[in-house]
Amino acid sequence: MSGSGKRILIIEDEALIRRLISLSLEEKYVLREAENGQKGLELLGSWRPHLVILDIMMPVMDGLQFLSWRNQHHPDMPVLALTSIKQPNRQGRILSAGASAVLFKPISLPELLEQVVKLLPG
Amino acid sequence: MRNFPYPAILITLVSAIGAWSLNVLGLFDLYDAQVYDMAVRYGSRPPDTPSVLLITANEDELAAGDSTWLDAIETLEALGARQIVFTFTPQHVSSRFYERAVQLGNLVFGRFPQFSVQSDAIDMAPWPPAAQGAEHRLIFGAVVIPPADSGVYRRNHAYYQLGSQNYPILETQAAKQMMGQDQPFPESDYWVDFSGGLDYLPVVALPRLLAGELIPELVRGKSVLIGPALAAHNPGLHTPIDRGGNPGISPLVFQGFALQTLLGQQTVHPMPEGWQLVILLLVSTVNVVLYQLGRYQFGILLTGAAAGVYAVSGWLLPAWFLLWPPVTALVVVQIATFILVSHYKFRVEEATTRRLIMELSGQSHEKRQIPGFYTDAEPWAQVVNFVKQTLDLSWLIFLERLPGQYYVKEIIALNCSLADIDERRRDYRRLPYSEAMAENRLVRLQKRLFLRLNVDYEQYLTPLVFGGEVLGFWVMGLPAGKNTHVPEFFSIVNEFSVQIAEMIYHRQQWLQQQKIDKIHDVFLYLRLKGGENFHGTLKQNIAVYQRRLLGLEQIFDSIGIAAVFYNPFGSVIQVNHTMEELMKKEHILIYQITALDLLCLLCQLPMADSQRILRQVFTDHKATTLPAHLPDNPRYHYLLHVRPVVINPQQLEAGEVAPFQLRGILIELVDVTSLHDLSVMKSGFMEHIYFQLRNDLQTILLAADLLNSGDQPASNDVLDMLKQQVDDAIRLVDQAQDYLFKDLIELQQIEDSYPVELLEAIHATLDAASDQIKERQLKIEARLPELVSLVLAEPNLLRELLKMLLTILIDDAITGSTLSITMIEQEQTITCTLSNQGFGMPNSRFQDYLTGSVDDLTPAFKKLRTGIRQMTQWSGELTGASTLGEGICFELKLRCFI
Repeated sequence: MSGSGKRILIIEDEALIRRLISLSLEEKYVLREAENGQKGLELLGSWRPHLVILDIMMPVMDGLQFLSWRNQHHPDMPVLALTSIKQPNRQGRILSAGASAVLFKPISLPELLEQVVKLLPG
Repeated sequence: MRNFPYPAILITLVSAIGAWSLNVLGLFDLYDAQVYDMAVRYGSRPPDTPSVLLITANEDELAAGDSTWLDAIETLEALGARQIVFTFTPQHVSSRFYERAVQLGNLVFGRFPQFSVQSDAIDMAPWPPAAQGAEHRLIFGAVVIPPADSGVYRRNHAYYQLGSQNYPILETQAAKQMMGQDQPFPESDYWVDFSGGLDYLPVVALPRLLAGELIPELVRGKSVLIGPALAAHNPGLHTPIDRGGNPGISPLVFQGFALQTLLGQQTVHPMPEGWQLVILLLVSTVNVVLYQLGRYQFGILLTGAAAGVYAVSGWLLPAWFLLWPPVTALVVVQIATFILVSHYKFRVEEATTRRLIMELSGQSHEKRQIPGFYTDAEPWAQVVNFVKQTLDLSWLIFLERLPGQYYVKEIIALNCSLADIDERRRDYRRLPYSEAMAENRLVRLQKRLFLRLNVDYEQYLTPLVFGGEVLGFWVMGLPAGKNTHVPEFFSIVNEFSVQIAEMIYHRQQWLQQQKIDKIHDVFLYLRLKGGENFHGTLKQNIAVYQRRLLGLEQIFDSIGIAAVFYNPFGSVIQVNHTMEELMKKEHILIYQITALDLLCLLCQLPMADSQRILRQVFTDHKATTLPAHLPDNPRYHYLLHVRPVVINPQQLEAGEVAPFQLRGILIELVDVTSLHDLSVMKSGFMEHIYFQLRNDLQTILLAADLLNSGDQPASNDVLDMLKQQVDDAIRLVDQAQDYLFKDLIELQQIEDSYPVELLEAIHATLDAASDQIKERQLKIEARLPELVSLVLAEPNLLRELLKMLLTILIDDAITGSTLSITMIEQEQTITCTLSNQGFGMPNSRFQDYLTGSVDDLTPAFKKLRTGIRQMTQWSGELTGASTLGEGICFELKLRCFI
């Protein structure tokens, strides 16, 4: 059971990364996991997170397509985007797509936790 | 003249002064006289009314006394004669006659010069006794007929020099008396004007005068000339107006014409010698220029026309301007100038041709190809070498069959010779030749032809046939069974034998022609083609150079790289075929743009940068390579090489200027699209590797951080994850390194699968088909992710497959409909679905086309069927379905690489 009660949805296609993020956050937060954007959408139908940790490059529905849906239906929901592609205008593009913050992999645990705290409401 | 810098001046002076000198020396007088005679005979100007009347008297009348002559002068005076001129001095008249003559004051008498016994010298004939006392008051003139010019009397004296006395000739005296001393009269010999013709001057016999038969109109105001008629035995004086067969005119008529010439002021003067020289120099100068303008035929025409002009001037000038031009001298100058100029030009041309031939022969290090090829061993040696290498032969010989002979002759051999064939087996009428001819193909010899070859070698013989005629044979030997090592050995031998037969044919033709030419050498002299034949040699050398130039042009045209050659000023000299076709497709007018324009257009460079680059080429002779694109086809990638072609200073002609020492600038456009695509493919692959590694590192980093945080329950799991991730990363690197370390050039030949970007392949295929899509007005609905995993596929085959799929869908689609493309990545497989709205076909038939045994297929379906089989090697799968009236749908499944 998390300490703060805040809910975080982790959408990441790499199972190990998803698992590790969960391990690092499960003590403090309530977590759900999805392996792609489509699965993430399905979860959102019944469970409202306070934050979404979102990988951009995923099959079936990638991060940008998810952000597009979120902009229409839940524009206030914060999204922390994670991406492996470090190109000059990549960050700007993801932020323009609606992400609240962008981190470039590999990110350290402290870095991740810092951003999570920053983006969670309250 | 050869070394004189201005030979034109020399020619002008030589011809003009030469002709003038000959004219002054009188060498042309005869010819001038003949022209004058023609001009007089066919006078261009109508004569004036004559002012002279001739009265003829016979011998008896000449010796008559007062009754005749006094009567005559009284009658003439009464009729109004202005002047009475006696060409003699009446001897038998009284002093009353001479007194009357003095009284009248208009009588003039003619006195002959004769030898005086008293003075022992030529003197004027004395006056008759009847004239004594009056002789100083009587007017007289000397009667002297000048000598003829080559038998023709054309001129008359004006004065007669006798000792220290200068007596006016009778006609001169008469003219002065009649017209007054103030009038200008010739001081020297003058040309008598005969243009009126033989019947011009009226002639009346004396008895008619004495009988009063003359009308006043005939006599009034005239000068009446009285003299002896032409005696019957006297041939008379021949003049320009002689009619053929008729006798000449009498001296009286001659004197009458002379008097008329003076009275009518019609004395024709020859052009002064000084003016003659000036005219001749002028004519020569003008013609020296004119003769240089045209060729020999023009010169002849000009000469003829000029001669005509001079003849016309000789006809017109005397009649209208009383001036006689040096006609013959003018014609001679004209011809001399023509000859000298033509001769000089001919010598210069011949010298130039000789020098050119020598230079060409010196520069050309190879023999003339046509004769050399057929007689020199080297070209045949090249053929033998080529054949030997291609077919891997050990022995071979080309034999020639000569007309009229039964034994074959060797053309060339390798590792053998004709001596290796028994003499009895060189008769082509016998085996094995007869068998080969009968079968007209390559035959394997059962009995050895080459004596030195042992049984381990197989021997073959094929006839060499051209135009249905057997021209020779080709015999070859190779180790037993080796013919199977060369694929299609027999068909290659057959093709070669056709070519070699043609070569033998041309060789025989040439040899035959040589024999004919040798026989005809004698006749060459009759045709004035004997001896040294510069033009033939020059023509052959030029033909060699033309062939070489043509060959080089063809090579330039045939190279696969697009190339254009500019002169040092950036204007096009030569464009090869590849460049021409490429520019035509791009609607670029390559012949009308400069090198600078091309650089700006293809490299998308600003003008300043292009200028800088070309400057470096000009001044530093620096070659440059730039990336380039076609304006309408950005998909294709090129490298533009700009290279200076530098001149070797020793190659320059004297006086030739080569700016920047450049022959020109060569621009080559090298298509590197495939290399670029391969590079992009590798980059894309690298990007994916990088992406995956970052993910893997993310896992490792998170795991390490977690372990570091000291969370014991999770540590075992985390360690396991760490190990797994490290294993995954190592596996990825191992998988990737084989592909990454492949050379790009090697990749071009790749026929195995390679990690490729499917998205990029689809986009490229859509671009390539854009024209067809536009033509059919199709809409493309592509639901494609931004990034998908790489797939394992053979790159070229994948593109080809996609192209065929699109072709089939476009061909089947209804105009204006939609083509859909979707892509989904799931469970290590990417599925790409392509469908159309089209006519479709029954699905069973569609499946037969795809994977069945139906042979009647379109090329696209044929390639597709082949591709479907091949793609299974990379675990790829292509399926499709069709519904009649709805369209076709394809599903392409490919395995993800990572």
